[in-house]
Amino acid sequence: MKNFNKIFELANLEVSSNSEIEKDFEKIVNWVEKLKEVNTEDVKPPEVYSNIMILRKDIKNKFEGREGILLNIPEKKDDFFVVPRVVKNG
Amino acid sequence: MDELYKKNLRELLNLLDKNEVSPEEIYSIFLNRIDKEEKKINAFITKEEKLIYNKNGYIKGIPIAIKDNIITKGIKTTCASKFLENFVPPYDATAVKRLKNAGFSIIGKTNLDEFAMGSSTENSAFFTTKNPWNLERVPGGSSGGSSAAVASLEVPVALGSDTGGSVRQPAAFCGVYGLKPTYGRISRFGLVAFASSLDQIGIFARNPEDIAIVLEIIAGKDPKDATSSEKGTEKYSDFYEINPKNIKIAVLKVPEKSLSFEIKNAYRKFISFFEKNGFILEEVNIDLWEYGLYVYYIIASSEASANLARYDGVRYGRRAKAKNIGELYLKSRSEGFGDEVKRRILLGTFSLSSGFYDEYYMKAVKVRNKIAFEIKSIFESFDYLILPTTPETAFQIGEKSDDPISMYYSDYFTIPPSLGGFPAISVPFQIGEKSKLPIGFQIVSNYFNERNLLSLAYFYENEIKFENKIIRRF
Repeated sequence: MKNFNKIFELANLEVSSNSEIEKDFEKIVNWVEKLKEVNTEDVKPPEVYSNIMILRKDIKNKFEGREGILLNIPEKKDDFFVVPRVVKNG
Repeated sequence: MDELYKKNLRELLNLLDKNEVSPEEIYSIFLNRIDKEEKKINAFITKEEKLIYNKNGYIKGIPIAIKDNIITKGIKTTCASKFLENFVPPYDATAVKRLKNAGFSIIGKTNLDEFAMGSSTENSAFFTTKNPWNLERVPGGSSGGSSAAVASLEVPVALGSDTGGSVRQPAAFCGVYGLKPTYGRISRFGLVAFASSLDQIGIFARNPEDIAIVLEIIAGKDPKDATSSEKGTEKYSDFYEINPKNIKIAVLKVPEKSLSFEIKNAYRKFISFFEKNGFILEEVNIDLWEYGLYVYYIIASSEASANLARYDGVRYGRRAKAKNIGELYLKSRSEGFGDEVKRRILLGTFSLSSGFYDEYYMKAVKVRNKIAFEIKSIFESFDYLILPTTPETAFQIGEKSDDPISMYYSDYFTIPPSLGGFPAISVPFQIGEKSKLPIGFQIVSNYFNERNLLSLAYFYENEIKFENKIIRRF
């Protein structure tokens, strides 16, 4: 059986936040299992995806929105993001 | 002059060219119209009171509404999520930038299901938009704010986004035209990512010509989106002449039980419209159609789980109070996301997790490719494919909100073309006799055939004249 708590942990979501979600999740996983009926040996990708991901030249561009980025930081000190301490003392 | 809001984009352009009206007059008439309609419709999350436009552009300040998951410099962009309630983007999406360069003014940002996940706007963290034809019904989704705004004459045109049907389904529910172009036709740069291999910006209007005018402004290669196509764009509003006896249309064979009584009957009439006009029609079957839904929910959710990993509460958006960094991520996300977003992140995380990846995600990718080939093979012998847009007309607000799987079936007909990256347009056909709600159908064509698609839609609108029905009704 699937370990639902592990999935919540991987997704960085609280398990206890809503028990309905857990029930729905199980239902949805069972629902998509119908896919197993389809035989999928020897399948190629379609052509619309064959000419994509063409890399652009690696040229430096000036980004004008620096101030705008700083304005969106929920908690900052000078021009730095503030987060709870991530390294241990001493 | 007071009824200028009834004019479409082409008509407004003509009036401006003849100097019969000023951009300021147009803008203030639409602002008034929005004020009046919003009391019942609730299509807009943010409204821009001030007219700002590029005076060198040929659109001369005509207003457009933008779905609130497409970023707009200096204008709040929320994705209808508590997480981004106060987010003000530092730059414009490429599509928005091109609209502004052409002279469009942004009059507001429209409601959607949170992060475009849903089919009714009921998953918006703020409010549900009402269907202008019946205020107790949903406008469809996820781009329900944009479709309702265009139907209720609050704006002539609007942008939406379509991942599995989020432009076409609300277009059908609201009785307007909604185009989802070929994957890669319009840059996704600045469209807040939900499922990157499926997301595509789309356009709403009350006629195909207005869609074509907007498409020719925003389509085309963008160095900032590696998946945008290098294929040249066309003058989409320069329509081909339609000569029915040379055009072959595939008609999708649809299981009777998958359609409501009203849509089943309307589908027959829609098909006979093309027959009567002399087109060559043939019924086709797509064997794997029904598997599209499962494929879609696995792939779109998998991509969403990766794309939404960026919402951690550190750099922008909602930040929860927390003692340590792990708790900061956990709480910010758990408090900031609504239920449907969580369901999809969980399904995606599961499908990509070690031990289930091959069985779910890879399996879905393979079936997706098979579906794409099946549709592609139709375009070897046909010019277009026609089919329903939705299984039923707009449903009641609240009717499906407790049952996610029944809501997912709303996209039954729109998902397969998205999985293959094909361009598709939903066209309004008639008002249901019993429901008094609009019924729409889809026309799909081969890759990058938007000009053919819009040409047929233009021919169709000239016969059907659905735009007049909207104008008379609202």
